[in-house]
Parts: sequence; C-alpha cells; structure tokens
Amino acid sequence: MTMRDNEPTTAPATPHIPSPAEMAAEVMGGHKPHASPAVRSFARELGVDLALLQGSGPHARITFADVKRYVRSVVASRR
Amino acid sequence: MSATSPQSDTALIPAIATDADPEETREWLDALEAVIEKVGPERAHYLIEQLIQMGHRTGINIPYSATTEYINTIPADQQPKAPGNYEIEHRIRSYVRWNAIAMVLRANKDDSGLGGHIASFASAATLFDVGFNHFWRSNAEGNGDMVYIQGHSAPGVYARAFMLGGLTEQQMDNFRREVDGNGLSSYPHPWLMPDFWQFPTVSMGLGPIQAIYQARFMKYMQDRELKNTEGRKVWCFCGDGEMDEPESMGAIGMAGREKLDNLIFVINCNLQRLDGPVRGNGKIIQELESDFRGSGWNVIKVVWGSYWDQLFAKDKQGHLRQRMMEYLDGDYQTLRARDGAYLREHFFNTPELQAMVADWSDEDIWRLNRGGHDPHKLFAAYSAATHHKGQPTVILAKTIKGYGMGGSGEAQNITHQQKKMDTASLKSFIERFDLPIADADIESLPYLKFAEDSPEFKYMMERRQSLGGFVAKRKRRVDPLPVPALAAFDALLKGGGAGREFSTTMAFVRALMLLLRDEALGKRMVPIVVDESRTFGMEGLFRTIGIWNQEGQKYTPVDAGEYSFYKESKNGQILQEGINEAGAMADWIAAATAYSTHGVQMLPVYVFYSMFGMQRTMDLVWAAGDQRSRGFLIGGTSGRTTLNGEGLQHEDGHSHVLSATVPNCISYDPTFAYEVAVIVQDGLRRMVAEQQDVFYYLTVLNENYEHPPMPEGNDVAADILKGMYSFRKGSEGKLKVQLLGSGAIFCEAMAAAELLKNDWGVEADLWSCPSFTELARDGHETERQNRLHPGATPHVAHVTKCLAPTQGPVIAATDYVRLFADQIRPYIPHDGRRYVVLGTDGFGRSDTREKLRHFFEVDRYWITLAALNALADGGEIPHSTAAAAITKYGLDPNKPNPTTV
Ligand SMILES: Cc1ncc(C[n+]2csc(CCOP(=O)(O)OP(=O)(O)O)c2C)c(N)n1
Ligand SMILES: [Mg+2]
Repeated sequence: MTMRDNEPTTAPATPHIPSPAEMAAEVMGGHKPHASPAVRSFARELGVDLALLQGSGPHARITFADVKRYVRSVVASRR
Repeated sequence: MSATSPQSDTALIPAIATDADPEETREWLDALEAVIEKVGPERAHYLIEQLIQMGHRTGINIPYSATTEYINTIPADQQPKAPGNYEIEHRIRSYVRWNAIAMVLRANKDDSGLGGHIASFASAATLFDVGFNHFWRSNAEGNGDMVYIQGHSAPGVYARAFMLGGLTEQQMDNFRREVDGNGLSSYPHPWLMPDFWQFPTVSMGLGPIQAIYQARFMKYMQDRELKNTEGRKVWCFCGDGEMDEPESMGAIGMAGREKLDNLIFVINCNLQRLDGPVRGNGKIIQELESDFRGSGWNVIKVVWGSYWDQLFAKDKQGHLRQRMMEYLDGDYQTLRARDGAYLREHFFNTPELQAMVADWSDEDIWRLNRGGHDPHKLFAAYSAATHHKGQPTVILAKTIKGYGMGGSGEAQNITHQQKKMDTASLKSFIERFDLPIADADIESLPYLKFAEDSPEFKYMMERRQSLGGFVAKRKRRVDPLPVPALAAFDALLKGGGAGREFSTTMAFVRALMLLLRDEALGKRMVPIVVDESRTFGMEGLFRTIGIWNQEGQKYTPVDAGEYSFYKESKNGQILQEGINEAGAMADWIAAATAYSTHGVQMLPVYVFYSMFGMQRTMDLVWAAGDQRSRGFLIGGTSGRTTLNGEGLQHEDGHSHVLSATVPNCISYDPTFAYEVAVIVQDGLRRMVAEQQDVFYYLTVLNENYEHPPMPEGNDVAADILKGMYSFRKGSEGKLKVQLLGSGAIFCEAMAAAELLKNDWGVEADLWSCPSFTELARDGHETERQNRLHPGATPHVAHVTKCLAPTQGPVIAATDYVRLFADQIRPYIPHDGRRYVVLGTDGFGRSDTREKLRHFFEVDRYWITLAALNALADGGEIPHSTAAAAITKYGLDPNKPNPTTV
C-alpha cells in the first residue's frame, strides 16, 4: 500500500491530553476527599465518612480539627 | 462513590496481591490522588520526594527507578509551536532523502562493490533536518555548534550540501570514489575532506566519547579565558546499536558530574542495528533512559508522533500507555514491516484498545507515526534541550529504520546493508514523497535540486544564513604563534655534566616547564594526565599551574600547606582525567583540534603510561590522525626492559610499531636530553609556526644516566630529526662495526663499543637513532622516487647516506620488538654487509634492568656477540671468536628464545 508520506507538515491541533488529575480520578475512582493518610486513619477509627466533611485547610484539605469538629457537632446534634 | 474497576487497580498498584494492609495502602493512595486532583501533580511529586527522603534518612534502602512511561517526555499540550514552514521543509527533506538514496544507488549501479548505506539516514533524515533548519549554528569560524554526525548517515549531509550548491553533481557521483580526486568520502573524514568534515565518527562509540570531552573542553576554554564559548553546543548523533560500545556510554557519568549543559546527544532509536534488533526482548529507549538519568542527564523521550495525540486524549484509563510499555521492541519492529491491519490486530488487542480505533481505517492506523518522524515533536525536544541548564540532555527518538523504503527495506532485518532498490520500490518512494521524476527517468536516478529562485532554495539558504552559514565546513588553519628557538632549551642541550644522572622523562618535563613559561605558548599548553603525574615526576605542576576543576576546590586538600599541594582551581591548566586513557585521549583530541574548532591554537601534551596509550586507545589515536590533530603524546616509562619491575602488562616494547601505522604521527624514542629538546622544538615549528597537521609521539624513560652535551656539527639537529645521527666515531681499524640504537638501549650499544674495543680489538661507530620509523618513511619515499624516475640521479635514503662511507656490519638494538629497527633493513647499503637487529620480542616480566636486558638479549654482551658473529659471517674473523665471547660473557647457547617463555 503506497500512501503519501505522513511526516506531519502542519502543526498538530493539540488535543486535550488527560491531566494527571483526570487520569487519577479516572483510574482510582475519582474525587476522593482531600485528607492526609493520618487524618484518614483517624476518621476510620471514629467511623467518620470524610466525604461528608468540608475541609478548612489550604485547598479545602480536611484536617484533624475538621474531623474533631464534625464529631463534636454530630454528638451535639444527637443530644 | 463509584467503584473502582479491578483492572485499573492492577494498572496502578501491581503489588496489591502481596499487600499486608490494603486498607492502609488505599488511604495513602487516596490521599495522594486527592492531592493530585485538588492541588496538582507538582505538589504530589513534592510529597513523594519527601516520603522517599524520609525513608532514606531513616535507613530504608529504597531502590530508585529511573524510567518513566513509554511516552513522550513533553506532553502534546505542553509542546511549543515550532516556527518555520513545514510544508516547505517536507519538500526539501523529500529531495534530500531522494538524493541520499540516489547517490548510493548510483555508486553501486555497476558491480563496483563500493557500498554505502540507505536505511540509516532514511531513519535519521528528520532528526538532522530540524537541526539544520532551526538549531545548528555554523562552526566554520570556530564560533558555532559542533555537530557529530552519525558516520554512515553521511549521504544525507552530502545530499543537503549538494542542494545548497556546496557540492557538484560530479562530486555526488564520486561518492566513495576518492582516488582520482574530487570524491566524497564514505564517512566523515577530515583527512580526506579537510574543508568539509570536522569530526570523524564512523568507528562506533568514538563520536559519543569525543563529543562529551569536546563539550567539556569548551568549558575549559571558557574558564581559562581563551575563548568565549557561552551558548555554543555540541550535538552528537548516534545509533541505538552504537550505544553498546563501551566508549559510547563510558563517559556519560562524567558529563553528568560536570553538568555539561552544552551537550546534546540525539540517539536514533530505530530499534535495529546491522544484523537485527537492538533489544528484541526489551526496550532500548527505556534502558537508555535509566542509564542516562542515573548518570545525571536530562532525558527527553520522543517516542510517538502527533497522530497518536488524539489516542492519548482518549486514554483516560491508561490502557494505551500500558500497552505501549508492555509491547517489545522486536514486535514494534515487526509492526512497521507489516501494515495497518496487522498493527490493528496485534497492537490494539483488547476491547478497550480496539474501541479506541474502532472508527479508524487501517490506513489511519498505519499513519500513527513515531516521534523521530515528526518535526514538531523533534522541534519541541531540541528546543527544550538547548534551553536546559545544569545537565547534559539526551534525546531518545524512536524511528523506523529504512523509513520510506517500503516493503523492500522498511524495518527489515536486511535493511542496513541494502544498497539496491528495485524499480517498483523506487516508484513507490517517488509517489510517497511526491517527487518530480517521470517513470521513464527512474532508472537513471536523477539528482533533484531546487532552482535558485524557488521558494525552497531560498528557504534553505535563509535558514542557513540565519544560523551563520553552512554546517559542513571546517577551518584549516589559524594565524601562527611565534615558537621559541632551539636556544631556549639550552639547559637540555648542554647536558647534565659528569656524574649528574637523570632521565629523559625529566628532560621532557623540563622542556614542558620552559614552554609553560613561554610568553606566546605558555597559556596554550594543555598538560593532560591520567593519574600518573607522580610516576613521571610532574606533581610539581599541580601547585604551579593547578588542575582545572569547574567547581574549584571546595575541600581542604590533605597536603594543604605543603609546598607542592594538590591544587584544583577554576582557572587551572592541567586536565587530570583520572584512570581514564580513553577520556584523556578524547580530551587531547579536543585540544589538538582547537585550532580548527575554536580558531585558537592549543598545544596539548598528554603523558601516559606508554603501554596504556597506543595499545589501549589506538582507535582514538587513528581518529586523531584523521582529524588532523596537533600536539604531543608522551609515552612515559617506556621500553620493555627499562620499566623493569612492572611485568608483562606494563612493559611496553611495541608502542612504536603501533604509532608507526598512523601516517601523520611522528614518533621518536630519544636517548638524550638534547634529542628531546631538538624534537620538541621542531614539533612546535611544524605544528604551530607552519600549521602542519602532524602530531608527535615521544617515548621517554625512567632510567637515570648521564646526558652528554649535544655533539658539535651543523647537521646534528637535522639528523636527529631525520632519525639517525653520528654520535661517536670509532678509531680507524681493520675491524669495524656500526652500532645503532635508541632509547635506553643505546647506552648498552655505547657499552658494547667499549667491550668490542677492549676485549676483541673491534672499533665501533655509534649511531643514535631516535626514530627508526622516520628513517623507514624516508627510505620508502626515496625508494619510490627512484622507482618513478628510472635513470635519474637516484635519491639516497638517510640511512644509506649515513652508512655508505662506513665499514663493517650493522647491528641495531632497541627496547622494542625487532620489527621496529628492522624497518630500515632495505636501506642498509647493499654492499654485502650484514644487518642484525636485536629487540625485545616476547612478554615482559619483572626483574632488574640488567636481568631483563640479558633475558631479552639486548644488553652490551649480546650486542657484542651479535657484532662478532656478523663479522665472522662476513669472513672477517673466525667464528671461534664469537664462540669465545659466548664463553667469556657466560651466555647460555641453550637459553630458550624469550618469545617462548
Ligand atoms: C567500531 C565499529 N564496529 C562496527 C562498525 C560497523 N557498523 C557500521 S553501522 C553498524 C550498525 C549500526 O547500528 P546503529 O548504531 O543502531 O545505527 P543505525 O544504522 O541503526 O542508525 C555497524 C555494526 C563500525 N562502524 N564501527
Ligand atoms: Mg539502530
């Protein structure tokens, strides 16, 4: 099969290449709560679902204080 | 929250099966994922680095993986837009491709057997083209970039030069036909095309190692304020197969350590070498990536061309990347030798992958190109490489060997050596590259050129003008510097006086000191050592001129405060290569050709352990000759018996045989200090004052003995240079012999003269022969002159001229194999006299000098015996006299031949 040489002559239209963030979301299931491993383990011990929390750290990172505050508020609301 | 598919788990967490606490693992990974997503990949990278550092600090020995995915280092969406007109460049490149093929095919049209390569340049054409059009600044005046072209891709460079008017059609037709003049050399050879080629590269591995040292020498020139080399680059093109040569990769650690950000390697990863695949079962690009990154290089992979970008866009789950990584080089090669349907079936082999190309035709799939065939990807890589600071860069470009050759050659195992293409293949090549060649003309293989008023020609010219001129152009000479007269070496000419013993090594070091203090030449001297300075008594130079180190000396040397301490400094002059003869030789070449590459005459003096010079790095010495190097190579502690204690691997008795094979290498084995002075001074005259493209090999000794003053006489200096002069005449007498010798063994000849006189009543004339090699060359030339001019007054060889008026057999003894002194046999006067050569053939061994000279049968007693035997053979004395000498000197007639033990 003879075809014209295909070394591209025009600048390629740059498609959107999935960013690491998109790939991570895609491959790992995506959109995980933003919290450190330590906070995760802390939340697990307390049975807290981090998905329900709003983080107060930089980039809305969930901190220990956030978890504690959340537990306190739940406990308070049960009273 | 969506469930994660098990398949993607295995993609990212391969060790999950052996995971002791998957919950914990997941928490860490989830945390990381969240960081990537919420903060960004840079932050994620930082955290990973911190974790690894913490691990290291606490003693966890974490091995480091230096590879990345099998994709381009520069993602499509971060690729700069390449300037230039790529339509035009493609048309130009198509012509270049054709001409490069045509010249090889034309050279092999009849059964000339001239050879040549098509497939290699076919795979490299775009790699070169982007450089020619956008990056390489001409070095014609010693101010531009230095480009080491892959040797057997030379036709591509000729093709381009032809299209620019630098070569004629006749020259193109003389590819590999050089003997009648106006030819083009098979490969880049400055010796053969001194105005065109700068660097000989075709001996695989020598290009890369020379390029590395060339780049570092640029920094040396800059630090020593001899040349502003800021911004200049060294580009080196190599094949992926070539990287298996130890020289190719042997110095990459140095390049990393020395932060040679003026160095760019482009490795053409066409996955094939001559016989077959480079790494059929693996991935050469990945292997090279980790080797180079581990050595501190910036690695840019250019694996895939633009047509893949849209698939990467779809590849959110990483299936494509995973397939790319697991597919083997051998299979990648096979893919490109088949077609689109085969590619679809074998590469896109899972439902996910098949889905990606479901609506693509086989032709679309076949169009999926490799990075090295995409000028936009290459431009991005070259641009990143030229801007990278603090590290050398390697570009790993994936290509197809025999690109464009179609079924007859593309990616075939036989493609490397293909020098013929049938008409059908040519026809499809012409179609493929849209070349203006009518069917009727195909057989005549016409060269293609753009008219001078065409946009293509103007484009090519404009590109080169904007980059300072042509790449294939070499500077041949610089304005000469004044060289010291012989009188400047007076201390050596006078000798040491009675009772003062020293070595020729010391004499040479003294000459070097004088030159280092010379007003004009001092700065231009480049002493190069390989961790042997103390061996040669040169350590005094450490303090006086310093060892060059880009970083200066950040530590306190252990001998600080001592007179002669180990001084490293940014403006040091010595190049200390460590135990690294190949590197030092490459360094020497860079300095020895600086007159051409920088337009600055330098004078390198590389002092090596003679056994580890020629023998160890002969191919580089040959390349040095090819590129018209000028400088001194000094073989220290030479002589099979003179270097006595070191044994078989150290004791050199044959480097002069090797040096004699290099036509522009002038070699000497001097005995006395004044000989050294005369030789060095004349070397300066020829190399610096007269700009002759020769270099010098001197062997020097570590044996101490007395050095007489230079003998009187008008011709002595000239005769030393010719290789033979009358050292001392014996008295008149009935029995005479002529004793010849060089190096330390000449002293044995002197002692033999005494024995002959005192014990046997034989007078000897003594001839010091600092160069049997030069004598032989003079003899060869004389002989051929006479052959070519029968009947004319014959020229007389120097040896013949010296010996003709003398009487008696001629005995030569040296510390080298017999072949060395035997070279002059044809020029011994043809008057029935014997010529007997003693030498040190055989493996060296350790013992005292006396013992070794006895063992190799080159000492005074053996010389005496040889002289008496020769006299007896000539009927001048009875053989019983020789037998008496054997008894008198206690020589054992049953002693085994030294070559057998
Ligand atoms: C030291 C040395 N050994 C062998 C050769 C012969 N030779 C020339 S090219 C070649 C194969 C080169 O393969 P590669 O480096 O991959 O370059 P490619 O042609 O594939 O670009 C060989 C073996 C040589 N030139 N030098
Ligand atoms: Mg190859």
